Amino acid sequence: MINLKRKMKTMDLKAKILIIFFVMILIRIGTVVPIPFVSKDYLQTAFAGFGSSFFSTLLGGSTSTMSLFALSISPYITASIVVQMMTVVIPKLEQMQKDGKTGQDRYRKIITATGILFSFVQAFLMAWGLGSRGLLDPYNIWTVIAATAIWTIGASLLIYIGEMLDNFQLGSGISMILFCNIVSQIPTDIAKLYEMFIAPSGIAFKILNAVLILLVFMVSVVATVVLLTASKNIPIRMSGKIAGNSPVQDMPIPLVTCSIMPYIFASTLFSIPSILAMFIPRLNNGIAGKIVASLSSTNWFYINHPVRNLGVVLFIALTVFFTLFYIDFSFNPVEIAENLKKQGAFVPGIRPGAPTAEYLSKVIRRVAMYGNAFVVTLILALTAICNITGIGSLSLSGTSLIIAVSVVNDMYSRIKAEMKANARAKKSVYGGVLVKKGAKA
Amino acid sequence: MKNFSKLGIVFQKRDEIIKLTAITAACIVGLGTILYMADTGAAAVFSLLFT
Repeated sequence: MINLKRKMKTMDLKAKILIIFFVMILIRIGTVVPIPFVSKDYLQTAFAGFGSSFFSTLLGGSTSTMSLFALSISPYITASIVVQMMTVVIPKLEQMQKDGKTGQDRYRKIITATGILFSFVQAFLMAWGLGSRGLLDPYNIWTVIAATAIWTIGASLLIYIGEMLDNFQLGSGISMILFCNIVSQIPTDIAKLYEMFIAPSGIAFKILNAVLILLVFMVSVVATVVLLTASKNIPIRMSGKIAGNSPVQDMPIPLVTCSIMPYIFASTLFSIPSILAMFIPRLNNGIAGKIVASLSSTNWFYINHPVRNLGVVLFIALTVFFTLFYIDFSFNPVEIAENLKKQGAFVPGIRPGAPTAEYLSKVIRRVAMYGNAFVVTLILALTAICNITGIGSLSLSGTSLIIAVSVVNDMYSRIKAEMKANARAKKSVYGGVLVKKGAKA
Repeated sequence: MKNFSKLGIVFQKRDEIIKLTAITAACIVGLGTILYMADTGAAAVFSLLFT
């Protein structure tokens, strides 16, 4: 296993990209592998509304087909949220995070094990709860056991694939699976937009609407790229010996400091009530029904239902909470300040040690809050456009667009870095002389 | 890199943003189409096999 991981890391870049591409195709095929005793008639009626939700987009529409990958990567996301929350109450987990590579490996194993456990529980609840309502045909103990086993194996396989993709060091494997699920639904979205805005209008409006749709898409991608690549540079003065010719270097703090995790977590938590309402129809009535409706982003920004907009306020609060939580979890200003002190480096105008740690903590939090405000504004603006125009949910609206763009950008920068490293290695092999193709000796 | 704001936030240069946007949009739409074709193709094969 260790050998395989090492081989994956040192593999040729082209081979890595090709393998990722074929794995994505395999994941999509797994999403449509049918299970014999799942009733197709039930699927068509029960999941009619669910297909357009954010959660369904994240799962790549697999829940609507109840295939091998019906649960997709959702148990792993839930496990990540739960385990990371547990670090607050279980100090041993927090210690594990700080214990270097060995500790972090153990921590990841705990998330994986919890993810598999959640897969089993979720698969069993689905087979037992929805099976009795007509999902399983025939509904008996054997079909419940078989469905639970198949869905647990499917979800565990995806978790394993996600972890294997991590070894290529071209980005997070789990994010790649989410990306694959999101983008595979784009042609369906294009067809939906065509049916709504282009097909029914005259030729002039056809062109105008097509241009407008393209413009909104491009502006959203540009805005996301701008946000994801922006950073605040903290000047660090190094001692002359270490820094060589340049005594001042920059420490970049990304504007979107916590990457996409707070938005995945917040959107996933918001989807849970709607999923529960599918199992317990009573939740769609009375006050519970109003709460469920206000937590679904497809119901926001309607003037006729102002109460449902409370969900927007809660969504903003939750992203702020997860951003602050994630900063505490992933940045340790005391450790950064200590490392700077050891290297003989300091922030100009700030004393080394505790004052530097305090300064870094303040700056990182402030930058993260600005970043969060920009990203949430973008997500809500896209949601508002989709809802007000009557489109509803699209695979590339709001959070899913941020996920897709972030995965591509991350992979692109890693590919660029690896290509540079390979060129440097080649240069050193040829004794500092790069040999161009066709060059005369 | 270009420093635009009073907050000290540094944004990428315009050329880099345009390049990244083009790559991102091409990847999203191109890969999306290929994966959708794999998806629907496999679904068609499975429905032929199991009906």
